[in-house]
Amino acid sequence: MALFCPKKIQLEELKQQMGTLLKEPNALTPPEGLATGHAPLDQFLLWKGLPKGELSCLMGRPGTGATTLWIQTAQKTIEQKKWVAWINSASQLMPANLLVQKVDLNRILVVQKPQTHQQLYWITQELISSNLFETIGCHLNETPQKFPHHYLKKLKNLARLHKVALVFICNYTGSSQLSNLRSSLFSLILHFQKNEIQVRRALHRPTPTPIQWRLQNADFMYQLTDGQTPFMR
Amino acid sequence: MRILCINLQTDKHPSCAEAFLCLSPRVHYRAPHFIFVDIASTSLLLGGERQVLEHAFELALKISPFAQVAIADSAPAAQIFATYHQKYLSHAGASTNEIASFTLSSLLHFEGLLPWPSEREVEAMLSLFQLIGLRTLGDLKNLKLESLRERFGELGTTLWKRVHSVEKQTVSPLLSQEPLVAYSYFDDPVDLVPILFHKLKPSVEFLFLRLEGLSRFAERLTLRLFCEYSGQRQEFHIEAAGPSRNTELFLTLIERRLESVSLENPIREFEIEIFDCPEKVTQLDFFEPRDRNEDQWQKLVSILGQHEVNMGFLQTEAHYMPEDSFSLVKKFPHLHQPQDQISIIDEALQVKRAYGKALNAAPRPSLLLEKPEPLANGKMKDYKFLTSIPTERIEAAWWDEAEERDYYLAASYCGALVWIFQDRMSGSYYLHGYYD
Repeated sequence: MALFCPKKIQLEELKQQMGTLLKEPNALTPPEGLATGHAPLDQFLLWKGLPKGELSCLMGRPGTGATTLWIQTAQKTIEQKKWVAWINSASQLMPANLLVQKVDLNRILVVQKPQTHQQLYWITQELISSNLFETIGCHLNETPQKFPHHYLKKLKNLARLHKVALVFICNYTGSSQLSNLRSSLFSLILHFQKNEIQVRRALHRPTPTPIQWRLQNADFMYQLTDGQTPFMR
Repeated sequence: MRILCINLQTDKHPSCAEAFLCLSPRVHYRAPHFIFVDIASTSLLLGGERQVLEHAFELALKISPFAQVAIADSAPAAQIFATYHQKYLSHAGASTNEIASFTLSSLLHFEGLLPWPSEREVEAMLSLFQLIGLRTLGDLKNLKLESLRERFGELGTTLWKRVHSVEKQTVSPLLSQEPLVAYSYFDDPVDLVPILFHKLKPSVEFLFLRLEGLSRFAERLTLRLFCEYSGQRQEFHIEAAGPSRNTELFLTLIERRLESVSLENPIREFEIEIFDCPEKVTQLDFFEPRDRNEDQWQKLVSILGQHEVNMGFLQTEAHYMPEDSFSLVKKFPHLHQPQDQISIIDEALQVKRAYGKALNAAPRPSLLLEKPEPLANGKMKDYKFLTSIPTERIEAAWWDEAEERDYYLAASYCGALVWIFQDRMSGSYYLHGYYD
């Protein structure tokens, strides 16, 4: 009994058979992203910025610069006459800082702190579904793992449908949180540390990868740029 | 004269005529289900009689699924066409000839604004005409006025005038007197929200059709649900971000509102009342003029506002305390930009420096805590002050015994930059913000 032997196909023949399904390398476009303005990070990421239609998580101790990265991204988005939204937690965005960073306050919608997780989830849903915002920043005092899994999944599907960059900015207080984080739902996880950003997860990129990051607002305090001060070592 | 007749074929409330005010101010409702609209002066403005007919048909179908419409030279002729045709446009000046071919039985529908006083008398007339060999309405033209008057009295005179199109039936402007209220009673009480919403929807759509015709906006919608037991009732007020006639928006708001309603006590009847206001031309505050996302903004603001979610734009306030230096406003924010006053008196240049001008560029944290967090001695060790003297001192006037604060920048070992202040009255330190 003869065994079935598949016919050998040459590569060129296969390419002809696939026809228009194949794309030329120069026709490939990366998925859309919102530029953050921090060149080393933008160049490293596949989306050249924060990914649109995906969930991102910016983790770090308060004061390490996670919110500023989102604000810089929002500023660049607003410059293109688009809208952004922000959901407060116990900490609120301060307009004086936004004005210094040249953010047009007419284009950033701010929602006060929701009472419960459920309300936060509902508000985020409504903001995404409204099709008005390019990016929505949500400040959390804890990691997103406090959210039920199906909430995050639904938000991800909604963000993908409406092409919105949903960014959670959360406090990071211990390494255990990183391992418990439902990393598969987040396309981008950044961990803000003293002088660098650790890219913990980024699609199609080797991780973890450190990216140079300067302490924010350091230019008005020479001690912060000095590097010689004992406590900064 | 050109008359549009809408035959709804099912008995409807006279207020349904208001939905057709968008076609002409001259609208007349005649029971049980006829609406006559004088479109002689308005058809050209609306794109011609064919467009008017199509638009009227669309509107009529929203009120009754069996509606029929027709345009003719007179109201009686229009009624006959609307009875026997779904959509009919009679040529100008030719209606009399076009109805001539209709059979005598259509005489019962040859009424217009003024119905026959007695159907039995008309049927008696019909029997007589058929007996003498008349077959069509056109044959009635051969009868003389004196003969008809002698035989049938006023009825005969009316018949002669209608057949020869000399009867004057003028459609007067419709004055709205009915309140925008809808009521319905359920034979079986409803205890499921989707079913309740399904039953509410036609009433809401009908009220908004009337609003459209009246060219008015809905400011607020009140929904009253009367329960089956114990005479209980539930009342809700539905308000959009601003007055509007957007039916979809209000239906969405009602649906969202009903999701939180408990129907343990089933609903037996409901009442919907709309508080209307004149149409406004000015833009709402939340969006720029001619913004194509206007409807989406209004929907988002209305839905979040309905659930009492506090949202808006950040507005800087002229207050020295950081936590009071901004607020959330619904309108586009107005930025306080203190500027030096420069005046030229003769050849002298006088510059009056604006107080607090440099504060705009003062370093402020990106995140401000809602309430300053007191720092105990243990927590103070985690932070290193970058300066021995405060970077900023904020205090009220000397006669005001309010708080006085010295602000410092501090950094932690892990690179966090924070904003700490010392209360000069108590000497305690508080964490107020993060340069995050």
